[in-house]
Amino acid sequence: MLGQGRLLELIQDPRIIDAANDPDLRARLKKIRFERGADLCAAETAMKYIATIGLEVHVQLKTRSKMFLRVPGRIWSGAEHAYVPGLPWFAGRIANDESRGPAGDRC
Amino acid sequence: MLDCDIAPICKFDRKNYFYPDMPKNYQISQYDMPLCVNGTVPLHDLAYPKDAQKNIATPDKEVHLVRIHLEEDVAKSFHFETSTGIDFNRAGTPLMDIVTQPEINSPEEAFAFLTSLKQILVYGAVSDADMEKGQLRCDCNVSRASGETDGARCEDRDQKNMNSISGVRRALALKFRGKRSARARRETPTGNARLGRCCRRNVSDAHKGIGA
Repeated sequence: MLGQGRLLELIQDPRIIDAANDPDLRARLKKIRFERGADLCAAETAMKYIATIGLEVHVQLKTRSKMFLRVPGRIWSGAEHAYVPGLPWFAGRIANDESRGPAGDRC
Repeated sequence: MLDCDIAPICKFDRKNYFYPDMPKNYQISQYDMPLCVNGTVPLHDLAYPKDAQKNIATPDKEVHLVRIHLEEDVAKSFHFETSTGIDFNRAGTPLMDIVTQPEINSPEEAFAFLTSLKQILVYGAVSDADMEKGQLRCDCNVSRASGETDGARCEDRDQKNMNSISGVRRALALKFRGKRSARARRETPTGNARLGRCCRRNVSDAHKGIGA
């Protein structure tokens, strides 16, 4: 009846109403672990499939500077650094690297 | 350290995309000529979680790597209740991406892989690999291929940027459980990615626009 979409007829069925009001049946239903049952049902199907995991790991490298700038790379040391995308000469000054001149001149 | 083949020539590419954590609109990365290819990470028995060390399915297994490439890290977003803040302190930091072959078969093996890899990186002074600080992050792809159709039907689910090894294990265990439930409901797997491509999807799809 469920498959035919006759839900209204199903819930009006006296057998269903009796079953819903039966405390013994309700207690037995509570004991059933539906999740476990679903896993057991899936066991046969599971044999047909191979589950695989692929990982992509991102690792921050322990470098003194950033990748294409001379600003310090030790970003977690506590001090905050100003990082200005597209203005390498400005970032070089912030890194107190005045002795080598603006980085923009040498790029 | 990882027994990789180092490329004689490698180059950097631009990966063009806009996102608030990458406001200059491109990320410098490597696409077709990575720093190294191949390589392996051995899974030692002690790298497995303690509750799984007595029941290791494949002892002395080695996980093979597809490639390792370098790119620059992006900024970090902090999501508040009504706004989002962006921390640019880590932007531009060198980031190494290690892509594995899709040959890890259980959450415990993934745990062992990450533990072994972290040990190698820390002892080799390559990285501090402090996962709490986001210095080592992990993306997972779980794929299910049908043996009857030569692995062509493949379900692909991503879990991005996880920052704890036990969290990776828990997430994968949940995904495996979800897949069992899906099988119980007799759902048809969707997607047409092949096994070898599953774990590389992040790399290949993100490089849609390559500039100079």
